[in-house]
Formats: sequence, structure tokens, C-alpha cells
Amino acid sequence: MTGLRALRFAWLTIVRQPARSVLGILGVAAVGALLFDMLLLSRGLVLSFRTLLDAGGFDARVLATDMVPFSGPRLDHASTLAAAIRALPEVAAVQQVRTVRATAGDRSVASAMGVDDGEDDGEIEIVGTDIHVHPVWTIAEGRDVAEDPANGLVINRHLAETLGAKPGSKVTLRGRCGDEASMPPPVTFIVTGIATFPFDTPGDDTAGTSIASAARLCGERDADQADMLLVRSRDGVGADTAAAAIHARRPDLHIVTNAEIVDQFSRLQFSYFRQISSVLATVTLFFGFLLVAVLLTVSVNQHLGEIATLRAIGLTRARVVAGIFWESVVMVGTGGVLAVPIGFVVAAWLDRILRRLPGIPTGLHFFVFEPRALGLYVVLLSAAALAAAAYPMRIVAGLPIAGTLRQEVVS
Amino acid sequence: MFAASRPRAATWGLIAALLVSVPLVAAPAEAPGILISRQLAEARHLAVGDEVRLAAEPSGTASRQFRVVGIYEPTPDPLRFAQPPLDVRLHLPDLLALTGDPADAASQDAVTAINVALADPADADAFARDVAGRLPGVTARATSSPDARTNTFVVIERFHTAIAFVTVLGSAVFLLALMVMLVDERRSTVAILRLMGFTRRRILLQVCAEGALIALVGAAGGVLFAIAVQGLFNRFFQWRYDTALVFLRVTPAVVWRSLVIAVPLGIGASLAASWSLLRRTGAGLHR
Amino acid sequence: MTAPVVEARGVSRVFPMQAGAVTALADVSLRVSAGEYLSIVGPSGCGKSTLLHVLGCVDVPTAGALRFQDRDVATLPDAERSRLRLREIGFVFQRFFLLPMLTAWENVELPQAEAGIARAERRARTAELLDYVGLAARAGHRPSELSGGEMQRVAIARALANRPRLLLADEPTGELDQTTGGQVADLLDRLHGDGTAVVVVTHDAVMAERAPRLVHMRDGRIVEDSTR
Repeated sequence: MTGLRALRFAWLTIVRQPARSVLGILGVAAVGALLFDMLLLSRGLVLSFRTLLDAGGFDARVLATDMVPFSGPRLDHASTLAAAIRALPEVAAVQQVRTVRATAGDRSVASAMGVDDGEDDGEIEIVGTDIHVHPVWTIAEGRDVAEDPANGLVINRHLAETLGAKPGSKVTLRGRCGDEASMPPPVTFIVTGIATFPFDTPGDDTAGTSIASAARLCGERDADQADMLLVRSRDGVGADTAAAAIHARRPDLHIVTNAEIVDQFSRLQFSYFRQISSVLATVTLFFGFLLVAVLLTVSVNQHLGEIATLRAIGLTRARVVAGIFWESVVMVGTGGVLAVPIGFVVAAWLDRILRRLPGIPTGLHFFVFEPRALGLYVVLLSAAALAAAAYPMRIVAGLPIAGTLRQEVVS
Repeated sequence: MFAASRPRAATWGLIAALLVSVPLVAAPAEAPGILISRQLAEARHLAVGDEVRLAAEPSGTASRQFRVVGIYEPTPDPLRFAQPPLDVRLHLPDLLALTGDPADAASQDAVTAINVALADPADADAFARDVAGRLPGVTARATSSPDARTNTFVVIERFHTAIAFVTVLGSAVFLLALMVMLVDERRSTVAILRLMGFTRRRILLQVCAEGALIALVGAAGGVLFAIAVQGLFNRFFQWRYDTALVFLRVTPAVVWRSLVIAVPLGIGASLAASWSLLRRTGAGLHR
Repeated sequence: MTAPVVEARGVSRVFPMQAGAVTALADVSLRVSAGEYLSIVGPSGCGKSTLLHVLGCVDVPTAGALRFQDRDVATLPDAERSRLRLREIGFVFQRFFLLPMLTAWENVELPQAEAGIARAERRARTAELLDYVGLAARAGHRPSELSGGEMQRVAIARALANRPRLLLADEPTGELDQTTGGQVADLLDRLHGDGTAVVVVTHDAVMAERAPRLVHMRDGRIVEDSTR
């Protein structure tokens, strides 16, 4: 009951100064929104990246070396290797992946002068996979390649628009394999469907086909090679156990789990955003603390007479101190609650800005909500509210009743 | 992991694959010279004069022997600051010999790009058009023209601007709240001034001047604080990422922009805060 | 002799100041009995208000003893002193010190709520008190909507909320005109008549004359204590 009375009293104190209180709450809402956004940003990329990696249903990758995928040597005798790994009791499925660069029809191969900028130069990335295993793409329209294993091709929306192709269209591709002097003959495919590829960036031209067709684009050169094998561990086994089993069988190969990739990217590629989110979260938290501390301190100093009166008529020290605490809680709480929807809106805006960074996959987001972020936000804001109330609470706790009343009369 | 198949990832892969550093006890004196980055020297405990073997293949096949003739501090790359630049610089013929396919003569003469220094840099666009006309399939572009790297910074700058906007918004509210309190504390003073015959305009002018002064002093304090912490901030991140990159720099333009935003904000906040008070009559203010 | 409500024995109060210590009370002894009505008078700065604060347990003497209903106040913890003020003492201040965000009704109800009195009983007591001070019609008004006399009457109603044994009034008519001050003084007379001990600090000779007992102070000491 005493707590409720203190809360009601705090509320009355806040509403009696509407302009100041509204501004205080708005200020908390603004800094709270930024704090919330920084918490979303601090792990957003990692969460989003993990979601992308996990989306295909595979939880480990087998590579020939520890080099970045698609930049190192390929796996030889990939089909045999895939079968051997699939035979392991820890493994549920294995998907072979081979990528080939190609150009459509007579589109010329471009080269750049100066820095290689990775911009659209008419190049298409062809992803070849085992059509009998769950594909790494998602069909948005039409049918999958498995319907036409020999000539089937799925293409992403951007490539479909670039080529003016749709399911049923014929597309001729010319592979870019090895040096450019020995260009293999073109191969004609039939588009079976439009698909989305998890790591496509907005301007990417990507197509998917069978691994055999991908090899055909390179003139059957290195036909049984794959850039990597995607592995799905059996339910209840876990990626680490499956990776250990593969490693035990083929210690010469490099096996990396999704969790390890996420961890590596989290430490290296994403560290800038983690750092900036930490810095800004600290600054905004301090700013929020300062705002509430100043408002409460000034408010207390302006109402010392009233506080002394409350003490004189018999309210205990704890009771008036609790009033200040609740005032802080109401102000920070109201601002903090308002901050969450504002934070979502600002996060969507900031996410749109950052996703324009070159090379960012369409499915990757910088600001991702997770309950943990909300929990941390509540904890940090509560700590700020408590810290902000500490000084004015101290003033109130140490207020000399008689001296203050005397001072009030004199002033 | 298709994301990594982009050219930048491939470049990093090559750099990583290039080094199979094995300091040799006895090496031929004619080994070609290479430069290595400071970070690489530290990571692999290499010094000038050491002999190393480099190979394009991670397996180490077709490796060649080189001698470290110098250690350099790499130009900081903001796009790669999170990764230590483990780089080696070779003479082009040595690089081609190392990476090319011995069975393919053409690979010994293939380069990713050719950098051209024009007599007059202003001719870059005309030169690019000329090259495109004469050499179909080859694209020429001025190094100063926008590319993915500049796009990255444009986007990051936009992101920082957006955050700054939200921060300024929060600061404006804070300032307004402060001014409301400040003006409220002066309620009786304002009442006395009004009763003495001071006009609203006269009092508003005074409040404006105070607001401008507070904003100016506050902004100056903020700038001084930023100047004071920029060294710490830079040193921390330079240590954290082992780079010479400058992360924070308080330039005159930044100072100017801060003042241009802060002072009108201070005046506006003062006016807004004092308006409700000055609307009342002198007697009303006493209540 | 009636049992004392409050008794100060050899009480001193010294305020340490930068320019040197100031003695507001020097060896003051005073006994206030139940139902007694006394006025404390004296020139400004003689220690009247300080004595009132000490008697009301809002200030602690630097020397001497204060007993409230036979309890040594010095040994009571702060929370217990607060409880004493809440239940046994009523304060009326020169500047009213009503809480501006509360209505007259809420101001009177506040001490009762703090004392844990049941809602129904609170409502009845608040209505009774506002009627007692003649402000039943202004119950919903905030202090800013009341006149000075009305505010002081609300303050008196608040002071009486928990049926205190002792009412302390510090210059209760200091901010009021003669007529309004007279009304407030009449109210204090009625309170005394109803059995509450009343101690009034005042500069107003007419007001002081209403009390049967008159205490004169000078330089922190009681120089005369007379009963008519």
C-alpha cells in the first residue's frame, strides 16, 4: 500500500509539471530508442547471418582447405566423398556445391581498370548442386531443376529481369572457367523456375542447376569436383559431433560448422558494428541518465519545502525517498516503453540505410529483434533510472526538515 | 557460403594462401626480394633478411623462395580494419611466376588490372572512353570515380548522419526540458521585471541571449570533450585492430556544424520555454 | 497536575555557521500539558520557531532532553519520530505548505492514508474536518484556487487529520489580513476547546492574548512564562 501511495504521489508530481515531464519522457524515449537500436545492432548481423546459414538446413561445411570458400582448391572426387560422408551415422544429408561463373549469350566478359569493384559486370554465378538432395535455393515460381535434370536451370528474379526470361525460356550460358583464353563452348538451359538464393545481393545474377550441368559449363573439365559439401547432422547429434566424425575419417579436409563461421564473422567482419553499437549504447545510456538525473535534481531542489513539509507531517524518510525513486521509474518507464516502438521504426530506417552497403545479401539484416535485447534494454534502462535517482534521493534523504522549512519561510 | 565468393573474399583468400612462411637456414643468395607488412612480420616472427617460401597453393606445391628485404606499414584500409593485413608485396614478374600455370603461357602474362598514370588526370574520362572504343571487352575507369569502396563510405556516412539526427533530436528535447526548468525557476524574477514595466520583447531578448550563451558554451564544451577523447578513442581502436587508421577526427567543419546546429537549437529552446511564461500577465506569474 | 504531552528540559540548539556558531536555544525548559493552550512570543530571531521545531520533533536539540508523552525523543529512530509526528503532532505553518498538486480534500486525506486509516474512515474524517474549518464546499479545489485564509484553514484541517494530541502553529496568521487571521485564531480556540493541546508562535499580540499561557523568549531563552 505504501509503495502504491508513493507511486501515485510520484505520478501526481510528474503530471503537475506537464511540459517538463513530457519533455523528460520524450527525451528518455529518444535516447531509449537509440539504446534499443544499438542493442538490436550489437547482435543483429550475427543473428541474421546465422539465420541465413541455417536456412538451408545444413549445419556444417566440408572444404579442401581452411581458405575462404570458393577461393581455395576444390574437393576432388566429390561424389565419392559425399557418399562416404553421408554413410557416417552422425550425418543425415550431404549436398555438393560447385559454383561456376558464366555470361549469358553473347554478353562479353568485362575487366576493370583500377580497383576491382565487384559491380555488375554481366557475370552470372551458377550454383551447381546435387539435385537429389534438398536444394540450397527456394523456388518462388515454376519448378525446381530436378524436373529437368539434364538442362534445367533456376534463376533469380534479377537475372530473370535482365534476360527477360521466365519458366520455360531457353537460356544460353558460357562458362568462365580457368583462364580466359580457353573459353568452353556455350550450354543451353531451360529455365524451370524462379528461385531465391540466400546470399544474393540486390544486383546479383544467380542461377542454380545440377552439379553435372555446372561442370558441363566448364567443358566437363574437373567434372567430379565441388567447392564444398554442405552437411546436415542427424537430429540430436549436433554439428560438432558430425564435424568430428568427418574429421576422424578425413583429417586432411577442413570442416567448419555454422556456429564456427558465425563466431569467426562475429569477431572479424561484424566487429565494426559491434564496436559502434557498444560505444553508442554507452553514450545514449549516459545521456539518458544525465537527462533524468538533471530533471529530478532540479525538480527536488525546487520542491524542498514540500518535501520538508511531508517529512514534518510525519512521512518517513524512506517514504519520501521512495517517492523520488518512483518518479524516476515512472519517467524512465514511460519513456522507455514509448522508446520501443520508436526504436523499431528507427531500426527499420537505419537497417534500410545499412543494407545499401555493397555486397550485403538481401536476406541479411543489421537490426534484428531478440528477446534478449529487450531484456538487456530493460535492465540497462532500470539501472539508468536507479542511478539517475540516486543523487536526488540522497538530497531528500539528508534533507534537514527544520532548516528547510525555515529557509522556505525566509525565501 | 556463397557470400564469400565475391571478389574481395577471393583477394583475401589469395593473400592468405600466398604465405607459407618457412624461414630457411641456408638459402641461395639470389632469392628475389619481397616486402612484408608489419603485421605479417609480427605474426610470423619474420625480420629483414629472412628467407621464406611462398606458394599460391595451400598445399605448398610449386613454392618459391624469397627474401624479406623490407617491412612496411600498410596503408590502412577502412574496409578491412577488422582483419590484420597479412600482406606480401612481390615484383609483378615474381607474382606471375608464382601464381601462373606453367603449362599455360598466357597465364604468365595475365593481370587483374593495369593502372595508368595520365599526363593530365582531368583526361581520365576521355581516356576511359577511348580505351572502351579501341579495346572491346576491356573496361577503363578513372580511379576517382565512384565504386563499391566509396559506396561503402557513403552508406556508412549516411548511417552516422541518421544516428546523429536521432541524437540531436534527443539533445534538443533535453535542452528544451532544461530551458523550461530554467525559465520556471525565474518565474518570480520575470514577474517582478514585468511589474516593473519590462516588455515581453525585452525579456525574450534576454532569454534568447541566455539560451544562445548556454548552447554556445555547451557546444564548445562538447567540442573540447570530443577533442580530448579523440586521442583516447583512436588509440584504443588502433590498438584493438592493430591499424594506423584514424577512427575519429574533430575537423573544423565538424566544429562549425556543431555550433551551427547547437546555437539556433539553444535559442529556439529558450524561446519555446519562455513563451508560455510570458503569455501570462505579471500578476498571474506570481501564482 | 495534568500529564505533559511534551516536555523540554534544558534544551539547547546551536547551529554551526561559517562565521561562527549561532545559539538559537540556550537551556530552555518547557512543559506542555494535555489540552493546554500557550503562545510563544518574542522578537525575531529569539528562537521561537526553533523551539517549536524541537517540540515537534523535526529538529534535534544539541543539548538537553525532550520527552514526548514520557518517551525520550533522542533515543527514537528517525522512522519512529516520523510516526510520532504523523499520529501525535499536527503542524500549521505560516506559509501553509499545502501540496499544490493535491486538492483540499487530498491534502487533508494524505496524513490519514499514510497512517494506514481505512478508506471509509478517511472519507468520513476528511469530510468532517473540512466541514469543521468551513471549507466543505471547496474540497475539490487545489491550493492555487484558494485564498490565503482558506489555505490556512485547509492546513489546520490537515494538521488535525490524525487527531493529534499536540498542535503546533508557527505564525499561523502571519500571511493573513486581520479578518482572516481572526477566523483562523477562532478556529484554534475551538480546537483548544475540543481538548487539543495548542502551541502558537506568533508576533501578533492579539493572537497571543487568546492563549491562557504566554511564554516570552529573548536571545534563545525563556524570560517569562505566565498563565492567566
